[in-house]
Amino acid sequence: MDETQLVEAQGKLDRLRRELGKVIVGQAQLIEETLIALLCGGHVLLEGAPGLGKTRLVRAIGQGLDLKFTRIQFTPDLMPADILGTHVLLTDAEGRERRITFQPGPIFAHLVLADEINRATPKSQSALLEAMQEGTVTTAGKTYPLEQPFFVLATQNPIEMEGTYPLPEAQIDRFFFKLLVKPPSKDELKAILERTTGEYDPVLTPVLRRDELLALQRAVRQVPIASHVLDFVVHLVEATHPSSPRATEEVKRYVRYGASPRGAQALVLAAKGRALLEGRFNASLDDVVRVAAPALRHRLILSFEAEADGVEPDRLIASLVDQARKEVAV
Amino acid sequence: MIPEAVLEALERVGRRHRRISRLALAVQSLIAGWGAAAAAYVLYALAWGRPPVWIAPAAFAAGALVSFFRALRPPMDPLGVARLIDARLDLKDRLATALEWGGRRSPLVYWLMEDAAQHARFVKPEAVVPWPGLSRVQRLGLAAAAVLSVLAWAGPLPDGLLVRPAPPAADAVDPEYEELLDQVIALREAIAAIPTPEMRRLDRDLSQLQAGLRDRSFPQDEALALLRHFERRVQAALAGLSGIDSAADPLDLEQLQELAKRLELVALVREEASPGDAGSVPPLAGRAASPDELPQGLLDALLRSSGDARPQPGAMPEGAGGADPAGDAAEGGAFAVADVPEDGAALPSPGAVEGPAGPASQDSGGERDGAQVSLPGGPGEPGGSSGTGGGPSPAGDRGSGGQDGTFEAGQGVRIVDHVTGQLGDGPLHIGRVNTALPAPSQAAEVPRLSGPLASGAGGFSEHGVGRENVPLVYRDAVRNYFRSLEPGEEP
Repeated sequence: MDETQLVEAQGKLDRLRRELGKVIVGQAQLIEETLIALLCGGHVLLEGAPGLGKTRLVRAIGQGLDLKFTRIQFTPDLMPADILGTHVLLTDAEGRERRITFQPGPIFAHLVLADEINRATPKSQSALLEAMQEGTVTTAGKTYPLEQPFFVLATQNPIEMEGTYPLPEAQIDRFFFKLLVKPPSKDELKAILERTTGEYDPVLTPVLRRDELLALQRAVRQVPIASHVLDFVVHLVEATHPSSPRATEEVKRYVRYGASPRGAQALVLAAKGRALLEGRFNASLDDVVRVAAPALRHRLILSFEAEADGVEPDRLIASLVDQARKEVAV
Repeated sequence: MIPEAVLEALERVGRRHRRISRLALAVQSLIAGWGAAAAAYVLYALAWGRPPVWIAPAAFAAGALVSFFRALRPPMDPLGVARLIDARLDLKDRLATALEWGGRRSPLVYWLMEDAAQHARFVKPEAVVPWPGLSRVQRLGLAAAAVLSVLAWAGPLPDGLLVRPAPPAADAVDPEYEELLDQVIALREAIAAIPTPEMRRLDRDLSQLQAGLRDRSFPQDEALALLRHFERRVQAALAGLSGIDSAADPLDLEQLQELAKRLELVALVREEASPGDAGSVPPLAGRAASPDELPQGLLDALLRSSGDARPQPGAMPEGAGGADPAGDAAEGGAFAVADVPEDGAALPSPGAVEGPAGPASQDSGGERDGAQVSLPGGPGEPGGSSGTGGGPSPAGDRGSGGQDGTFEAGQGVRIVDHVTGQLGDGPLHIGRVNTALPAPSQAAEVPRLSGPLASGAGGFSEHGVGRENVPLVYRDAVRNYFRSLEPGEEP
C-alpha cells in the first residue's frame, strides 16, 4: 500500500465513521474505539444496558464494511456445534452418493455478533476461544481456518445476572477492547427519537472493502512508535500488578491480578491503530493514554474489597496513567 | 534518513535550551547563596550574637555552590530535545519518533519523516524554551524573602539567645539566697529539738529546701513560698504541741524562732540538777543563749498561757514547750516563775526541789527589775526558784531572792512573776523544773516538785539518730543509752 492508497483508506475510515453516525446517534468514542479494534484485528466486548444500541452498532458496522456478517444469539441451550458448525450426511442430487461434510456454523463470517454472550454456558462460550485467538475452528479432528478479517463483537448485559454465566478471565482476556456503552445524553436521545420513530430508515452503503481493511490492518503494525512510548506502556502495565514495585497503594489494595502481556500488546496496537485513524504515521503517548481504559479495564481482576468499595477499573487506570506519564516525562 | 529540517530544529532548540538553562542555574545559585547567607547571619546572630565577618560570604558561597551542583544537569541530548519540542508544541511525538526511526526503511517511516520535517520547519525555539518566568505567587514570595533578608541583615536582632549566662562563681554570694538559706537553717534549728513525727517531716522537707537553696536549683520565689509554707506548718505544729495557741497565734516568725530556740534549750537539758549541786550546773549539750534572746513579753505570754494549762499538782507534764531564760555573764537576767501556796506557807525545803540550779545561782548578780520569785528557801538556797510545769526553767538567785508573790487560795501553782538578776559568767543553762507545786495541804503527798528533762531524752536521741550523725551500727546503742535516761528506766 503506497501513501496514496493509505491516505485513501484513511479517508474511507472517515466516511465509515460518518456512515455509522447515520445509524448511531452520539457514541462517537464508542464508534472510534470499535474502529480501532477493527483496524487492529481485535475483538470487542460491548457491555451496556439493554436498548442502548449495541446490536444496532454491530449491524451497522457490518453493513458499512461490506463484510459477511452473522449474528449468534447466545442462550443457555446453545451448543458449541451451533456456533462452530457440524458434520452432516449429505446425499448428492441423484441420491446415489452420500458423504459426511462439514457444515460451517455462524462463526464462519467476517463479522460475528455474539449477542448476550454471557447467557450461554461456559462450554458454548469456550467454543469461541480458538476462533478468537487462533482464527481457526477445529471440529472432528479437523481444523478449518477462518477467513480474515475475523471480527467478533460480543455484547453482554451487566445488570441481568439471573441465568447468566460470567465470562471466565481467560476468555475475557481474548477481547481486544471492552467498551462500555453509555446512555445517550438528552440531545442524543431526542435525535434518536426523531430518527427511529419516523419514516427515516437509513441505508448504509458499504464504504470499506475487505482487502482495504486487511491492508489497513497490515499498515497498523508498521506504524512507528517511539521508545519512550513503549516505556510508558511497560510502566503502565507493570503498575497494574499488585506485586510490582510500581504499584500504587490503590492497586495493591484493590487489584488481584494485573494486565497480561496481551494487554500490553493491545495497548501498543491500539495506539498505532488510533494514530492511523487520526491520519498520523506514528503512535504517540496520547494515543496510548486514550486507549488505555478500553484495553485494560477488563484485564484488571479486582478484589472483593474493590467491589465492596465500588472501585471501578477506569479510575485505577486513570491514576496509573498519570503516574506512568510522570515517569517518562521529559 | 532524518530530515535536515528536523535536525536543524533540534539544534536550534538545543542551543537555546543550554543557554537558558545555564542562565537560570546561575540566577538560582545566586538566590540560594543569598538566602543561605541571610539565614546563616540571622541564625548565628540569634544564637551566639553578632557573627564574624566571614560567616555571610562563606554561607553565600556554600549555598550557591550547593544549589549550582544540585541543579546542574548534563546538556539535553537530541532525543530529549525532540521530546521537549513534541511536548511543548503538541507534535504527538512526531520528532522523537522520527529521530528514533530515522534509519529504518518502510513506507510508513518515510511518510513519518515527511510529516516530521513539515512540522519541524515551524518550530520556533522561543516557543519551546521560553525565558523562565515566575508565577505571581513565586514573585511575591521571592520579593518577600528578599525584603525579609535585608531587614534581618540591617535590623536589630536579639543577641545570643542560645548563649547561656555564665554560671555564678562558686564563691559568689547571692544575698537573697543567703538570707533565705539562713532562715531555713534557723527554722531547722528551731524545730530540731522537738522530736515529733511532724517536726521530723518538716525537718526533712526543710533539709531539701536548704539543699536546693544551696545549689541554687530552687527558684527564689518558689523557695520563699516553700519557706513560708514550712513556717506556717511549724507554727501550727508548735501551737498544737504546747497548747499555746492563744499565745502563738499573734506571734510572728521571729518570735516563733525565739520560742523554738528556747524549746530546744529546754529539751537539751537532760541532766537532773540535784539540790546538792546548787550553784553548779552541769555542762549541757552545748546550747547556750544570751539574754538578748529572751524577750520578756514573749516569755511572759507563753508562761502565762502555759500556766493556765498546767496540769494538776503531782502530774509531770510531758510537753517540752517552754522558754528558757538565758543568762549572760554580765547582766543576764534570770527569771523564775514560782507557784506559791496560797497561805504563804513555806514551800518545801530546797532540797525537795529538784530544779536545776543555773550558774546564776553561783553568782548572785544584781537584781534588775521586776518581781522576784520568792521561794521560802531564801537566799543561799539552791534551786530556790521553780518554774512552771513544762514551762520555763528558772535559775535560782541565791543572793537576791525575795518574796513578792501573790497567792490564790485553792490553787496549787500559779505564775507569779519573773525573776531577774545578775548571773554569773558563762552561758546560762536551763533545765526544766516541775513547778506543779502542791497546795500546802497536799505538800506531803507530792514526792518532788521538779524533775529533770530526762523525759525528753528519747526524743532527743531519736532526733540525733535521725540526723544520721550517728553511724548506723551505733544507733541502737545510742537509743538504748538515752532510753535508759528516761525516768523509771534502768540505766
